[in-house]
Amino acid sequence: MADNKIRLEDLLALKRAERPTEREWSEFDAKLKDKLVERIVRNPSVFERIAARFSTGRAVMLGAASAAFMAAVFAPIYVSSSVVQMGTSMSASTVSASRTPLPTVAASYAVNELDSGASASESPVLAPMSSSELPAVRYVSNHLDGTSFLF
Amino acid sequence: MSSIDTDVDSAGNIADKGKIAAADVDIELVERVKAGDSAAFDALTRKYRQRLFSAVYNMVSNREDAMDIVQDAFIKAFSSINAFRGGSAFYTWLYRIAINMAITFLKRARLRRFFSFENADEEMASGEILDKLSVDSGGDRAAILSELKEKLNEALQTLSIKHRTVVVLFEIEGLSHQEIAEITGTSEGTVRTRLHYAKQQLQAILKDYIK
Repeated sequence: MADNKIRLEDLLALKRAERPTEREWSEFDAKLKDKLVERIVRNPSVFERIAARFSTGRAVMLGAASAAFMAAVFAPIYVSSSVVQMGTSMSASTVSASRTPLPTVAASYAVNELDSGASASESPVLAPMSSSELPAVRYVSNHLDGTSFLF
Repeated sequence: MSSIDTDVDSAGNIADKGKIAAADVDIELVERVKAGDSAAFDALTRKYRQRLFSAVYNMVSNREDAMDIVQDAFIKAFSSINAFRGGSAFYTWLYRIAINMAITFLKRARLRRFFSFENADEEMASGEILDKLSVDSGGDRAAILSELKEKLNEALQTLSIKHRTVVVLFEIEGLSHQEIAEITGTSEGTVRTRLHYAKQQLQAILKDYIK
């Protein structure tokens, strides 16, 4: 090899001649199309466009701002109307719980039939529903400082 | 290095008419892709697949991996085509995506076996080199050519990723210092420095084979 030395640039130029065959390009095209279809199925363009318009940071900020706006507008209305309707003798937590939309319950239960073993920690009591006509079952947890859950 | 014609304008600046015309065509194709024209997508893919493949292949040194990376680069480019604002040439934007993906790939799998093309078209290789080989090597050109390429590839693999990137893009792809700086996100000075260092390294490694 000592007699046929060439320049580095010439040697590097050899690399330019390396290229796939037409058959390999056909395989390349087919595989590229498969990947594109997979990509389109997996990520419809509508989501891509949304993602492009809203970066993650902007989306989080927008969500937080919306939540803050909702809380600022509706929370005072919610609390004031509850206090007016239920009177001042009830605590704020009780008032809030009583105004919570309740699912329809066919009958009231004197005990927690779903989990009798929990009777030591939860005490079912009767409580007024928002309609003020039908009683609901209120579970008072001993572990949550008297926080109540209505069913 | 580039095969595209160049010219000198009245102010003495080198105006690369071929590249400018190609850039105009690319912008038009990109706009069509944005409008949902799949034929434009095919046109851009066919136009740049060989160049991207060559760059990526010479970086990762594996044909199948290079094919995969180029396919993924095209998909990534066209799925985010709206992000291309035309601030740079489309092909440098495309190169940047492909090179970044190749670099990510190399960082994940630093040790890769190298498979050189066995079907390299000798007619397309440097005639000067082949002439030398035919005169000095007793006629066994294919064997010598294969050995030279293998040594060169081994030498390229010893370079760091950033130095290999610059050598591949400048010496093999024929891109300018400015284009490489855009693609790699560095300055032209950094590109020149890396290129100088990389070629010194290659010269040292291949001293038995080159002048």
